[in-house]
Amino acid sequence: MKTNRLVINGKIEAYAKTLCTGVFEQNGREELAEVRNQIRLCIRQLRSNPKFIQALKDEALSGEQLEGLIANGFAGFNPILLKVVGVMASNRDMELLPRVFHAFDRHMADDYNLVTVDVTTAVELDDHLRGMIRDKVEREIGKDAIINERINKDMLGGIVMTAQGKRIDASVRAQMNKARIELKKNNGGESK
Amino acid sequence: MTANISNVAKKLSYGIVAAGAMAAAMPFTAFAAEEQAGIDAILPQMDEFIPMLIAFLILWFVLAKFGWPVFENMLARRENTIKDALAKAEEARLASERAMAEHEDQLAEAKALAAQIVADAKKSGEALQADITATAQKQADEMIEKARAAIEYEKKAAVEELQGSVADMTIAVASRVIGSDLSDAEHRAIIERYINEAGSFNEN
Repeated sequence: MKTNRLVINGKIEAYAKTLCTGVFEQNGREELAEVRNQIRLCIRQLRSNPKFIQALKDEALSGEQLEGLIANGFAGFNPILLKVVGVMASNRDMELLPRVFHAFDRHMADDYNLVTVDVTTAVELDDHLRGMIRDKVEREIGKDAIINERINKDMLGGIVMTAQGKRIDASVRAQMNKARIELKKNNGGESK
Repeated sequence: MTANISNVAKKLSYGIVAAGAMAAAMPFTAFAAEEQAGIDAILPQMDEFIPMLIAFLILWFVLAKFGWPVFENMLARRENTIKDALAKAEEARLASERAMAEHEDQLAEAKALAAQIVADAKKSGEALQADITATAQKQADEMIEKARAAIEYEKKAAVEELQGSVADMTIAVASRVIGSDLSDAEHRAIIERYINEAGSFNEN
């Protein structure tokens, strides 16, 4: 079936708005961040499992069967999320899920003044640091922050923050890389 | 001319025959003198002298009448022939001298032209040699310059590679020290400082 850009954008908006509103009304603001993480997890699992994607594209399966596949494949996820993704699967719109994720982010910020901040550190954050991050986001973006924490020892230290597609890399590894580049550049200049 | 000669010969033969006939008609006179002596021996005998005179006159007349004009004509023709030959020889000599002069002029021109060609060739050769020498020198200079640039580039690349390796090693050691030696509290202190000092979300 041929579709145009406006129809696709309309579908994406409908899925994201339904999901965002449903989760907020059922579980409140805090659950929005959790659902956001679950959407991201869904995307990763789909990308890493070609057989599952193939099964979702099977024309022989009915809408109910596809919704059942989604419910089984993502068991434990928010029920509203499972319902919306099931509808997407029955409509053969699973390839739109990454764009629904971004639209969900936008609705969280526009409709509920919430922004999710992905924070990566080498050690676990304490409440003091979480408060500092929320203050920084509120001060600079003007929205309430929901912190999505992640530990990565390879970054050596420091912090990496990502919110609304904007990234601040203040990790020790990044500082080291900058220092290495500067060191090579300066040495090269002296050699002349 | 051959016909004229035969005609003259024919006429002479007629005269000779006539004189012979006259002499044959009076043979006795010849033997008559043998019988005389003294002064009479050297004086002409009239009976011999007169026929001889007549015969001489006849011979003279015949020769004067028939022989001499022919001989004179022949001499005149011969003279004309010689004059013509001399004139032609003179003409030929003049023509030859003209040809010789012309030839000498052409030879001189050819020599001048050859000298000019040689001079031009020498000049061209010198210019070509100078051009080739200049080109070779230029190419040699370019090759030397390229070689110098290549050496300089390689040297710079080697130094940069060495310095890069030193920098990488330094950073790796520093990273290992930081990663293993810092406590959680020190990590959190660094995070706190970076949150305050790192860039803004509005800057990106």
